[in-house]
Amino acid sequence: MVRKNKPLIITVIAAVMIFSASAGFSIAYFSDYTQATGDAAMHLSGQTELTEYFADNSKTISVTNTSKEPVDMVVRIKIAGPSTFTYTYDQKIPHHWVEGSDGWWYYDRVVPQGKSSSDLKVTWEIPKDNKNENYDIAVLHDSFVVKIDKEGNIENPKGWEGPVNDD
Amino acid sequence: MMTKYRKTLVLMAVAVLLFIAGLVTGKIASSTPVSEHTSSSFGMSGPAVVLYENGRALSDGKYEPVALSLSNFDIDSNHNTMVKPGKTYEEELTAQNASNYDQYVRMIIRRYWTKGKDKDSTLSPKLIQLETGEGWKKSKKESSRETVVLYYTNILPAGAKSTPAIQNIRINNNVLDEIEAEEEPSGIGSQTVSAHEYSFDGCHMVLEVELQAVQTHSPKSTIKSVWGSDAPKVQKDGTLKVK
Repeated sequence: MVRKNKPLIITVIAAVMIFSASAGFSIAYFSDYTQATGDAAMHLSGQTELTEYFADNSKTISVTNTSKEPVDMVVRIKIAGPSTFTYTYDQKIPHHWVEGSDGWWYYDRVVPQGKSSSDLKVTWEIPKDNKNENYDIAVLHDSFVVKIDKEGNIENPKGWEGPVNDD
Repeated sequence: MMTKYRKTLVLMAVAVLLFIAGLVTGKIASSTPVSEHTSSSFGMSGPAVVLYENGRALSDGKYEPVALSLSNFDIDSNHNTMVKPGKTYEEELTAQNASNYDQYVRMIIRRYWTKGKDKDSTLSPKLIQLETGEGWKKSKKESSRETVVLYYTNILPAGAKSTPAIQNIRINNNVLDEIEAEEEPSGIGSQTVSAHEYSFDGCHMVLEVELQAVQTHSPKSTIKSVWGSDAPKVQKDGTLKVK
């Protein structure tokens, strides 16, 4: 019986061999993918400018964020004048300028692009024996791009006493 | 006329030749690198896996990279997307199984900085902080400073959406610590303008996201063959344990 069916048997064996040779390499795996890209600029070029109005032994000072990009700034100012003068400070309520022990006045808000701080008015009294002498009352000012921690709180720049709260 | 014996020989010879041909063809196929972009898309004409950004489907069905909208980010003076250091931006990236078969999915995110046209390697990619969502696990084995590989640990059923792989993006505010050296104010006259030069001003944050899906049938061999990865281990319940 085997002899009679030999061709058939060989054909079957051949078919099995062909199938087994190719089967292992032709199983397809279902897979797929999709892609996306994104890009965002980081602008850190912040800048602030001081405005002073002088009148009768006083200056009214404010600071404006003049950054080209929407960068928020924290600011502080300091009066630099003769040490023999007496200085008094005044501001409208609510008070946002806070005096530090280091002589700097800190603004307790972030100043956004295009916006200004509230005014701080400094008035000085000249000692009688200085009345006829020339003097200069300069205003120093400093600002940094606002630094926010993970909780969303504002961190003071290095060397700043504070108090930026922005609450 | 061919004898039966000869017929038998001929048949055997044909069988052997066909066997050899099958081996050779199969070898060529198996040695062709399984490109990550070679896909048998679950028998569908469109993508079988869809990336969602903040609830909006991104895929256009043509396998070309699409743009992330980054719609919750800030905008600069040229109406381009802008990122502020320290600020947390909501950015949800989610996967949807758009096929008729269950899938395993993973998300590969490449993050880096550029300045001008060039890649900037002075800024660490890790400053681009990605908050991962529930249900996704980062493969420490496959991830690097620049590349984050996330696996969805559950099977994603046909038609279902995953939980967000990424929930938020935040730039570490340490980038603000790098300031160019500058002169102290002279103190003579008022200091009208204050500006500091930050070293990383003008850099761009770049994200490249690839969402990949494979069948759940024969998962071990599929994952290994298609993703070339042995990082995820398939558990008895079908979930993935990721190294």
